[in-house]
Amino acid sequence: MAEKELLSFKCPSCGAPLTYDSDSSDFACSYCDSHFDFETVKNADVNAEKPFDWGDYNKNVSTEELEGTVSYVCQSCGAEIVADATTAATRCPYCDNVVLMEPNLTGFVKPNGVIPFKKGLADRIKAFCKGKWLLPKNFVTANKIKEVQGVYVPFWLFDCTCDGDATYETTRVRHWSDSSYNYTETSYYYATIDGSMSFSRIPVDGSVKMDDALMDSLEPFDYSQLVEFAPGYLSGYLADRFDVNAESSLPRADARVRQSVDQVYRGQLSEFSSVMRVASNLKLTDPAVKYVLLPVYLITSKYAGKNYSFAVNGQTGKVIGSLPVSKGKFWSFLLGFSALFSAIAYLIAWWLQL
Amino acid sequence: MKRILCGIAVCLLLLSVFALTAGAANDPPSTYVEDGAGLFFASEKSDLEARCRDLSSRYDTCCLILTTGSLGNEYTDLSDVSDYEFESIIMAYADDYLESVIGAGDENDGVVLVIYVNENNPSDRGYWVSTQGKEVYGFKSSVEQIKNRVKAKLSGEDYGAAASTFLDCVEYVERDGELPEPPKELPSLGITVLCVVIGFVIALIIVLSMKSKMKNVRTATTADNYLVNNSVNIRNRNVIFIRKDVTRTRRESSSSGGGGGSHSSSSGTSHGGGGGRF
Repeated sequence: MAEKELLSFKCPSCGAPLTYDSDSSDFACSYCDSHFDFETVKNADVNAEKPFDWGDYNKNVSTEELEGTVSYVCQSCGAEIVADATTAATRCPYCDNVVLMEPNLTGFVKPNGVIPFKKGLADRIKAFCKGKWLLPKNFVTANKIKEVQGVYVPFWLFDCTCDGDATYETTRVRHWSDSSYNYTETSYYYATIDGSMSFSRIPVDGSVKMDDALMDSLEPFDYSQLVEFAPGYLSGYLADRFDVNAESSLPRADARVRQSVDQVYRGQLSEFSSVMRVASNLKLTDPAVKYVLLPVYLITSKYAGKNYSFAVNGQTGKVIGSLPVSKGKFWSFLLGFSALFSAIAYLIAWWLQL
Repeated sequence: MKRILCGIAVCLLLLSVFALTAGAANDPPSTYVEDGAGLFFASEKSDLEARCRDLSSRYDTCCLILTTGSLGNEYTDLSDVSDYEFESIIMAYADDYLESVIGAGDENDGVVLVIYVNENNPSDRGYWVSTQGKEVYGFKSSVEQIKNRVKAKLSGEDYGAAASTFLDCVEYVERDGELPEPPKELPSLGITVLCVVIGFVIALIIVLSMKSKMKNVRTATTADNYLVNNSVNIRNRNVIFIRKDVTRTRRESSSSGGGGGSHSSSSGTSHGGGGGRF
């Protein structure tokens, strides 16, 4: 009879525990029926999630530089701003300082597409600030809203199909009682889900100056309105030149794909009390990227020596931002509510004769 | 004729014997207030005596008050015994006293307040309210309130007021079936401080919630919005059972102590009531 010893190695294929078979002198996975020698098992790091191989994804990105535009460097924060050649003066959308009009000779790579601005969405900022009782008085004035800058932000849109399997350690818990004891039964399982799914146009902003979380929060954009770029779309607006290339943006798209696949696979295991991923074996096919400009209204306002930025999705009107908190209002509300609720608690205590 | 006369005479004799026997159990006691521990002033005692007599007469019951410096020769000092044991001793003492005055048996009705202050150690003290007969059920729902009111007076060593409060309670229960709602008192300093803390915590939660709404920037962690429709293709789903663990924990017993119920004395008579140390 073959003597089998349970070792703390996991299957490189599916993540399930391996057993050592002394007859065949290798490690066997009773779940996926694979066999491995010791060196393979020792060197396999099944828990490490290596970045996807995106292959030749950027063949569609143009390198053609666009004519009829000029770009400026903000002397205050270093942002590179692109405008049409007729723009005389403007303010930096990131730091609110006046941009020095010194043309920079670097060109502006032609994007694959653009979603044009819709008019009248800047007023949404005023509505966003309404009802924010902790906002400092006169923080967002009517004049400030008039100065809202429309900026085309560079985005990389990633396409891919993700294919492969993932293994999860799952449990199912059952409780019951008799006259003397409460019982808890925990059943342990290994579950493997194998499948594929496709993603289209996952956006990652290509601007160092643009806060990633701020841009993430502006999603989603309606890509059905994506049109071919023409310099005329820049008229009256600014554009940011990408300074984060597609390769540097890959890890963010990578993480989002992996997380979504994990959620879809976990959805197949809804009958279990707990689900913990132990291994995954996923790969990408049909990767592609496009470089586009997406419309964003930006407003930057200073309070207590700190810059606060808002952004409005220039297509859908969704407003995103971090508003400052007035310390005076914070303490006034805290003390006022404290007095109110203490009085209510006191009345209840008196009524209940505690 | 002689036989008939003899028969009538025997019947009259038996009737008189039954009447005397029954009368022995229901005879009103000579005194309703026994101040063995000397806790009442003379004027207080006479007032209490008059009220007990009046209550007993009007409500066809026997309302008694007893103070004592000892709960029996075998108990010289009860300050070291547990509360449960103490309550058992003073309860048995009160039940026995009540039965000794009104007689054993559920057909005899009465209620007694026993106040015990150890004659050698005044810190060893307690009280008990015992009921018998119809009063077991009459006082059942009011015992806790009576205890609270009597104990509040006893804690201040105002024994006359405690006895008087007890008689007020008896009057309410006999007349109305229950005690009136006590006048509401202002919460204590501890409760007031707790109210301020609760108010502050609720206010803090609200204001922090308001503060959290000042920021709606969130990093995206998934690409769910960009999943192509109908592109999800689950080819295989394998689940294998590994093992099973069963743990068990003993269930908590639901029994608990406390007053308000009824119990039986050594004679088998049912009693109700409650009490404790003060």
